Amino acid sequence: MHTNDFKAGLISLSLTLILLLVTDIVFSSLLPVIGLNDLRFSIHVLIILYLGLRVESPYLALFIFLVEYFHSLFTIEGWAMGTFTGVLICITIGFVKDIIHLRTKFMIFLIVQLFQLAWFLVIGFLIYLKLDNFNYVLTKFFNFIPTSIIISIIAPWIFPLLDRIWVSSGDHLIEDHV
Amino acid sequence: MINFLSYQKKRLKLVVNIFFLLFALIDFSSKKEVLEKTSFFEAVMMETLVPIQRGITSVQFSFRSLVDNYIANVNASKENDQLRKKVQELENDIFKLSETTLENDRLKSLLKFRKQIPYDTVTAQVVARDSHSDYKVFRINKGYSHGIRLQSVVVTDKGLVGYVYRLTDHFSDVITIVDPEIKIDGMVKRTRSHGMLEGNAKGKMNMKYIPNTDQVILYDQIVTSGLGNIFPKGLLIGKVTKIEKEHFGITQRIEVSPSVDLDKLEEVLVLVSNADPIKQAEWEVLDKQSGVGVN
Repeated sequence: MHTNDFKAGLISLSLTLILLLVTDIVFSSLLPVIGLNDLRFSIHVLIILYLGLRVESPYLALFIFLVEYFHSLFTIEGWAMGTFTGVLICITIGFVKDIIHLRTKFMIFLIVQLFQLAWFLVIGFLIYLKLDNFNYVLTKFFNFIPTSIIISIIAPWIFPLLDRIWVSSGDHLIEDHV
Repeated sequence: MINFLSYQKKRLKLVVNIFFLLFALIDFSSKKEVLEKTSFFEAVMMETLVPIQRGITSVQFSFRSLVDNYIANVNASKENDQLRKKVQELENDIFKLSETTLENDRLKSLLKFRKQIPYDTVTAQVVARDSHSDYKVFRINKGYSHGIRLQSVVVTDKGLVGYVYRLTDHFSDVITIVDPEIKIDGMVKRTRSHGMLEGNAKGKMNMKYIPNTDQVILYDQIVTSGLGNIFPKGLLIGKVTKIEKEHFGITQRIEVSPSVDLDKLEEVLVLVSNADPIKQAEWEVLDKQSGVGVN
């Protein structure tokens, strides 16, 4: 059972990582063209929230690590902060999963926005510990607001896409359908 | 049986979760400086992916040139009849000036600057930016095989840009001076007052620890002090754009704007001089630690 889960998960994860790499390449190279030097999106947070909300696997933390590791190829942020935050958020999601129903686009938007906020709180705290600079965290928060809203808006369209990726290689990994 | 398997799974999940939480926490807390060891896998991935970013970036620069030079001038011609003739002349000039000409101009000024500095240099092109907007980092198309090493200093003819914090054989990642993660010991060129510069996430830097008694004025030039063992002495960092003094404080708050427009960088110079034996020895140690060039 574990081996099947793991194999099915790795196939889906490989496809998810390709999606992540494509978006990271495009966003790190193309967005400055329209003057968005201070506004850049990466869907790594969205992917991890999806994994937490929709995928049931004992290897979830490993998947989160791999997503963050590949994302770190494009950012100085590294993988450690994202992995720590991602695992922590997914543990939290595990506790409240039963009362979350992602049946409408609005609910997906709302839940993703809520957990992005939780994500920021953890990341912000870690950055504050590291830099001892609250003003920096505050500025980061103001950059986070528009970015997170856009990510929440696209979430209802990305989730079905990820559903396809994760269903195709292992139905038993997905908990329920949107 | 089902309950037993479910219990086994939950236990496994708990173990995996705790392992990765601790793994991440240890890595996060043990990282003291902005230098990253590049594994063989990371090097292969970066070498494969960067050419794609480079292709997209070249399209980006062409498009930006069109927007900056053409559309802006056309709009200006609509606003003012008197300027129309001038705009048309400029448009003609712009059409005559291809991207190559612009690039040549930039490279010429870099070359001129290159002759002025007592270091061997490598000219590199910016091929991508950090995928996270909060970090002021970019990627260049030169790496270890071109003589670049970890902590190699990156400059332009306008001033200091940053240093190399991660590299592969053909590409390097550069952390810029406005990133809050790096601190630079700088001094006011006119008064020789020392202070510590750090990025403030608004594309500028805060200069700390300058006593209230030091008479710093607006537009004073800030240069590197040479302390800290990364940046050579005397490189222009930027100029003072804001000064705040508090009656009860012993130091003043100074905001410094970088002399280089980091958002519009296209070509940079990387200082790769190996004339300094101490620096050379440091590089060799860093190379061994990072594993670059050893593969």
